[in-house]
Amino acid sequence: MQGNKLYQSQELAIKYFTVAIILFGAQLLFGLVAAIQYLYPDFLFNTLDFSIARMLHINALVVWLLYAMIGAVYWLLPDEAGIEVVGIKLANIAFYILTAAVAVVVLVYLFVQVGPGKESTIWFITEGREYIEAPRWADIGIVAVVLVFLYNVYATVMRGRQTGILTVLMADLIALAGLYLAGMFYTDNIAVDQYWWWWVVHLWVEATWEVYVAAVGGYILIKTLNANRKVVEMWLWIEVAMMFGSGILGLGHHYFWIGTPEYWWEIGALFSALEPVPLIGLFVHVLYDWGKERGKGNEIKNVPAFAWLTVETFGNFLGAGVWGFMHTLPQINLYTHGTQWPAAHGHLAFYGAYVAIMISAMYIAVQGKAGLERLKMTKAGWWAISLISVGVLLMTVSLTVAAYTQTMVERGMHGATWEGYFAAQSNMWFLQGIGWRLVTGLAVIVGYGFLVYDLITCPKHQPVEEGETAAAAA
Amino acid sequence: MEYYMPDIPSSDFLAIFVVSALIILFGMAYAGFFTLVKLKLLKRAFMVAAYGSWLVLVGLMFYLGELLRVEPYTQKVLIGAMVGYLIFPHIVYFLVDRLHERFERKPSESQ
Repeated sequence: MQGNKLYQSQELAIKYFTVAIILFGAQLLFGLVAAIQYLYPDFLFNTLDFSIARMLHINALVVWLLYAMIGAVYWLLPDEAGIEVVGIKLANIAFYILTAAVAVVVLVYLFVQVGPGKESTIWFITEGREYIEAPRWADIGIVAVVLVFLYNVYATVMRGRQTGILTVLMADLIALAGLYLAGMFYTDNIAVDQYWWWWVVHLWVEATWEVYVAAVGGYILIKTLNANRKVVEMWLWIEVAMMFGSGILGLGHHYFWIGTPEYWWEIGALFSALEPVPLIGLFVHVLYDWGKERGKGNEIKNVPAFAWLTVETFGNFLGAGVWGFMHTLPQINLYTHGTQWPAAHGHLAFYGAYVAIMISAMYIAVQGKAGLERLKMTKAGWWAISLISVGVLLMTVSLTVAAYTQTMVERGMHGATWEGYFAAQSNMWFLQGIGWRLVTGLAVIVGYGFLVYDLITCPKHQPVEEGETAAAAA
Repeated sequence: MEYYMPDIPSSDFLAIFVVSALIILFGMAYAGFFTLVKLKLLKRAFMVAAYGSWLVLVGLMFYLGELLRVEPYTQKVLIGAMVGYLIFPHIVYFLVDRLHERFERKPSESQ
């Protein structure tokens, strides 16, 4: 930012954030449809089938997070490097191409819900890989857009200031983009196919995305708390080392039951168990900074951004740490795999680790766009963070109740048979858990409404504190 | 190499889930109490709570190993890992503290 004037890159970031928040809404909408279909399987049957609603729910999440991630980089890049992004026109063109491609892919998903699985299906309809179903033409387009993005980042950092945050981001983005290639080729053997597909999914969310979040989190800490840059950057390197150490071979916990050799049980068990360790390190660090800065009169410059960052720390710990460890070891994962356990873990972990920090980054952009020295929390902002956070937490608890029922009835009592599956699906506790998931989902959607309203209007609705009123009157 | 994974009775499922969650929570409690006492935000007596949390953690980890029917060797590895975890918050605190000491806040260094 140059005074109140934004860099062109930051204006582009706002476009990315805008599409991200719209897709966030789409994610919630399709999640709502899928949640209703769990209870009323006839709901929208043959119009929007569960398989499509679920696919759109998850794909919208992945795509909006990627939009927000790219947006956050375009926001901080000129700020950190001290110059306008190199190739900004190309970046703008890439944004419109990507957005048009996403719209076409979603329309195809909606209009071609059933059909034969042929070579042309992979190219034009869907690749059929969970979480990254985009057809191959879109895959190639995504790679082209990401190459433009990487060029923008690298060329800008080479010409501008090279900070620690940018250096970590540069290395991380290469890995993030490169791993996508592992999900682009098709093999006839499903075990081999799944083996490479997990490279994208796991090594994104439990390695490269985590490092990305640490870097952007560091930037947000500098912006909100005036944190010491050198401390933030030095700690960033330590966290990167810890996350890569546990995250990369933690991949093993996805290799338990897909036909890979059994030694993955040992590797997966050991490194999955280590995955919460960096979170403890992060926890000690946050606690240390909070304790050291307490009472020093350092005002938080952007309260909503800081509040969402706090949600990120605790949500990440609970979702990824507690709910992850509950079912990650192979001995118990044998009974929980394919039940609602991964859904319970996934909802809170994604929310805690990624959603919260991306919303935090959006508030940094809101403050920058409005040119405010300080951004306080409005009532709508409090409603948004409370409804969404409590909603997601209770949704996780509801899903855990349903998951426990499945584990006991379907796996424990009936030994993972079809009979067991249907016995669990009609069990009272399972249905109640799924019912409460729907209720909590509605709370999240109301919270989302407050969030959108607050992101648009909060600079105009800044609360005036008592001291400020007195000063203004004097 | 052959790997063997014994069946777990469904009556143990609840205990496994609860103990696994408690392991992470007591792990956090140990790190939290330890850091807060070191920062002098809690009285020194609370260090007992920190190491008490760690002892509970060790007990829970041993119990989880029993519930999961792990082999004696793995059980030893788990307890060894807990000894490593006893040291971990000390190392993290030391690193963070030295970092702050080295780069103590100067207005010009921020931003």
